[in-house]
Amino acid sequence: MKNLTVIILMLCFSSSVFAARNSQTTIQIIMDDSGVLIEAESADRYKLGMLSHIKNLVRKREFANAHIDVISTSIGRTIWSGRPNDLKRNPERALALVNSIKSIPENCNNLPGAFVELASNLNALAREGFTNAHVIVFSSLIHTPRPCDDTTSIVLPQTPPVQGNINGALSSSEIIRSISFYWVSPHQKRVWEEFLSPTFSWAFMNSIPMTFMDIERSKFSLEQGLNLEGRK
Amino acid sequence: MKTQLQTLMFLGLISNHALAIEIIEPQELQTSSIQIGDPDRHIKTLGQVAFQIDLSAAHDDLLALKVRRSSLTLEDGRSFTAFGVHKDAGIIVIAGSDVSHISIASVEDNQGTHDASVLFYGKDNNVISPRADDVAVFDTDFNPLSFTYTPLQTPGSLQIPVSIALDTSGSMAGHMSTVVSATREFLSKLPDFTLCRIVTFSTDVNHLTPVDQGRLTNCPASAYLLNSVPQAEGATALYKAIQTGFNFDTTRINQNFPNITVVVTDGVNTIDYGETLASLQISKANSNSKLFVFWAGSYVQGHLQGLADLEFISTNNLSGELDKFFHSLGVSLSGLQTLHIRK
Repeated sequence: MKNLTVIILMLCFSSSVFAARNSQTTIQIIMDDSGVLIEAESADRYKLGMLSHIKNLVRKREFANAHIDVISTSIGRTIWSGRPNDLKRNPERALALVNSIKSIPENCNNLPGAFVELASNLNALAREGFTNAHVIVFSSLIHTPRPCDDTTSIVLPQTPPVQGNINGALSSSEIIRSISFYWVSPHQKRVWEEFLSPTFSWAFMNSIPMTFMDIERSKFSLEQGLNLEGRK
Repeated sequence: MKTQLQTLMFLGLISNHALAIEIIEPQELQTSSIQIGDPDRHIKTLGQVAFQIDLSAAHDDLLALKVRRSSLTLEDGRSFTAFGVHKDAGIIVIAGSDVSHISIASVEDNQGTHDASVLFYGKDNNVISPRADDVAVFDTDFNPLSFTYTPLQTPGSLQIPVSIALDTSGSMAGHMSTVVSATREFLSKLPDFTLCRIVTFSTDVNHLTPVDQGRLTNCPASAYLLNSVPQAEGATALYKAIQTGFNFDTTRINQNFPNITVVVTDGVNTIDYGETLASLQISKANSNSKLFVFWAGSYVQGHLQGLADLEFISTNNLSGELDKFFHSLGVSLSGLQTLHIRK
């Protein structure tokens, strides 16, 4: 009987390790760390709140070992990769992420670059066998092509950038299961909603939940938690 | 090198005739200073940015915003002062000089041209006719389109359907002569390219013009039908009167220009002929209609629940306010300019 218990425990342990190591879920976060993020101080607090929610995903079976990529909008590159457990158990790595997502007043904003990076990440992850990608965009959706040293005034609403094939990045990957926009400038909301209409249509056709929240709705939503319940 | 060749020849691997073969020996490893450009060096260059909120663009759709932020110019290089966009036809009209606002009423697809019916408004909000060189036309990719436009020329083949519905219910008794007189004046001043249907309504709808649309005439020619003042009596078939206006078969006249329905009334609907506000909304959308309602006297707030595109409420001076209402409506109709845009 004792031996049987040990075997069952071993089986349970090994199967959970197996499941964890073979997680097919990824969370792709485009994080605005630029100087044109609206209400930057408050935004940084909610970013940390979002990280806290991600850290707590270790308790959820589907996301416990999810692969996380954080893409900086100012440089348009992936600045951190890891798993929820890194945020919980590895203070050094967690601190590196916390420091890298703060909005820097001198930073330009390369939104097209960030979405190109997202498309690249999604392609790579699909090739590696990932099947579920949840995309989070935390940005006011204001861009400043770099170098941006002569940008002293930005008139809102601003037309979305034509570069970067942003709709293509969001609607051409078969592994996307949910898309969430947070912290959208209320002045950019209407034009971006229209700009993203191909993505909204694609998401609707494929039963993929897509949320698009301005600053106030983001605050309310992030205080409730992260909703990553996408199409299975 | 020579020894290698001789060896290969000896082994029979190459013949005497293949002496053109040359074996290049690798050169010594060369070094040079390598410079890798750092794409991040321009990241932290943002200065102190001030956000400006452009309230005039608050209701722009994406295309309108692109035009507003564009550097489109008139042919002589001047900046535009107003623009209009017709998304379905994919046409942008810009204008300079005194033009402060542009409204593209319709775009008709004719042989070889798109005929755009455009209203140009001046700085005091009056309809004006700008000079041809004050106007330019582009497609939605901002490519210039060639067009012809003659200021003050009335639209040629265009016919605008106008339905007038006058309330003759009992409560209008004190207003009838003022309403009929103002309406007659309005009709007589409308351009010849308007096609009129005139009805009165109380307990039912009464056609003053022929019911058969093919027998309708232009508005100035129909004005005489209001030479006598109808008697005010009965209930208010408001919804049926509105529906009659929406029933204009605009497909027989033009595809894009809205069917204009003008109603002068003082009361709420009191007779049920089956129409509801919901059915009227659908009918309005299907017939591409615009509804303008002049409330003479009592006005029930929100009675039409957004069905009307414009509601004008008379407070005390019925005659003056009715004149003002008809004048602005007439100017909007008669001030249309046509741009013939080459496809």
